[in-house]
Amino acid sequence: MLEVNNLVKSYGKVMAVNDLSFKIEKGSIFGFVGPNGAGKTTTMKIMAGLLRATKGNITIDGEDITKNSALLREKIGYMPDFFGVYDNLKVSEYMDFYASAYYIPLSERKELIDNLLGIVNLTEKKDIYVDSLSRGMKQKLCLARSLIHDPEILILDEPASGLDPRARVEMKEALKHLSHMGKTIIISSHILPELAEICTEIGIIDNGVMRAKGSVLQIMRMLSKKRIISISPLSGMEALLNLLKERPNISNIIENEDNVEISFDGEDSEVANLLTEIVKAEIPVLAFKEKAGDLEEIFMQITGGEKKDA
Amino acid sequence: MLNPILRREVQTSLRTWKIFGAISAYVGVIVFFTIVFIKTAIDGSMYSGFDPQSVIYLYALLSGLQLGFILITAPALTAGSISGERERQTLDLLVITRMSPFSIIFGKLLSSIGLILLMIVAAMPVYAVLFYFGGVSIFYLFGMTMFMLVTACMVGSMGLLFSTIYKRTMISMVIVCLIIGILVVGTLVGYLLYVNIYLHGYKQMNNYISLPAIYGFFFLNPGAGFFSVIDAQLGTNLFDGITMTNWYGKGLKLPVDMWIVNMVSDILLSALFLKLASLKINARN
Repeated sequence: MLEVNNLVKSYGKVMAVNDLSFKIEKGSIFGFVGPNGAGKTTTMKIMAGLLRATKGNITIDGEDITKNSALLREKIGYMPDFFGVYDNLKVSEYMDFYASAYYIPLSERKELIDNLLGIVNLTEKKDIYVDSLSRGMKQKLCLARSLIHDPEILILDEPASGLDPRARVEMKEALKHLSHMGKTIIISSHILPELAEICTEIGIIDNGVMRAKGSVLQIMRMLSKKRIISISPLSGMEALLNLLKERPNISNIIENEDNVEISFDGEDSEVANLLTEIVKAEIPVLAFKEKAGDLEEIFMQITGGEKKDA
Repeated sequence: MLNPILRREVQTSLRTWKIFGAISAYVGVIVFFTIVFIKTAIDGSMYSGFDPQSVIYLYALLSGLQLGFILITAPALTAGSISGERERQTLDLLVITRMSPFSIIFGKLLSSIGLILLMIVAAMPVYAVLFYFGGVSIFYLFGMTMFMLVTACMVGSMGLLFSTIYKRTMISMVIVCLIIGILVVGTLVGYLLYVNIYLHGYKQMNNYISLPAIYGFFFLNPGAGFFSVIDAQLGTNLFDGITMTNWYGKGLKLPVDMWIVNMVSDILLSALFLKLASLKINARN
């Protein structure tokens, strides 16, 4: 488990990170969301060992990595938001250089590099010069580089920024694959919906302060008293509508062609009770799910902005 | 295991024509001056043909050219090495690896010195002319090369330090060139002013000049070290002549040759510069 404890980073009177504390469970994908200048990159750079915190510490399984740089370098893989590559170096040589910089034995390197290039779909590009790769491919190469020493925790600062939709999908696939491999992934973005679908947990940071933390649904519930539930009956739409209208904690029933959307005011147990009632009423239910709602609106609400309709 | 930075820099730099062009140009300049020197020596000789006595002057000329080249090349190679990584946005990726800041800095220095060594080796066939005529031992050449490499280390590590301090390569390069200018010319001018103004001219200097003044002005001057090496190898009095310490042939006798003081100072200073540079790139400082 990674724990950030009372982290402070100040530049003179400017507080880039202000008493930030949170925990990230092993194997989870943690989305670090916040507007530009919120303190995401500063926090990630402290985690990666590139900046010294003014106060506070970061522990991995109880060990303080801010005081143990060898442990930090071993446990953490980092991909910055902006990075460059070396000229006149091929993809496989680029990987080999970083493998040697992590003192990985020569005998292990070839297989390791082939595996990592396979994970990010760059096997066919191994003999291409890195400076001739597209931005998306460079991002994937940098992701492979960050894995070269098999770190437990991956810190990825805006890995999808500037990528086309196809490259974004490929990046998400690669991250899901890494998550299945048991890596803890901390990923930042200033676009909440971008992270919502792959992250197990999200932290929203603004002005160096953690404004909200939890799963997307938990954050939504924190901000919105009512949850939006979509129910798709196989038949018996009329009976379903009648049942829903009788419930006191349901408002704003919207009937669509094949489903009903309701605003529900209640805890998890009450949602479960509602489903039980529908089933007891012998209405065949095809789907019953809580909707994520408008994530952009939530993000703007938390970070103190206003959503502007396009 | 070979330093990863040294390996990468050698690998990438030898892939471009730039390095071959630079070596060819350098060897071309050395060959040009050698031919001009031999032609002038033959034309001006009282005897028919080349006076073998001139060989020692040709050796001094070639070595002087090489030192001048090193004083320009070493800072040019190192002053942009860390700032270049920063400009290219690759420095962060480097400092988070398991390499220690010192091995990163040392790898950078080694790769620069390696290129300089390559150029010195490329010019060796020109030095073969000296051995054809005789008068210069191969040990002299070895000693001079060692002096030059130590000088290159000092100038190179100074370039590295400024490269870690300034974000722009151009600024660090200009500052290092200024410092080298001060070390080579500035200390000589300072010394001559000291002799003329403080000691009121050369006539009285043998009575008043002190050893600390000589060592103080020239302990880091690569030119002083170079002339001292030549004096030690060929039995000339070039350093004494420049510093006027032997004005009437009875001046100060330096207890320790200037080239020794120079090399020791260079080694100590190189270590200091490298240590400071590695502290500077340590991300957590």
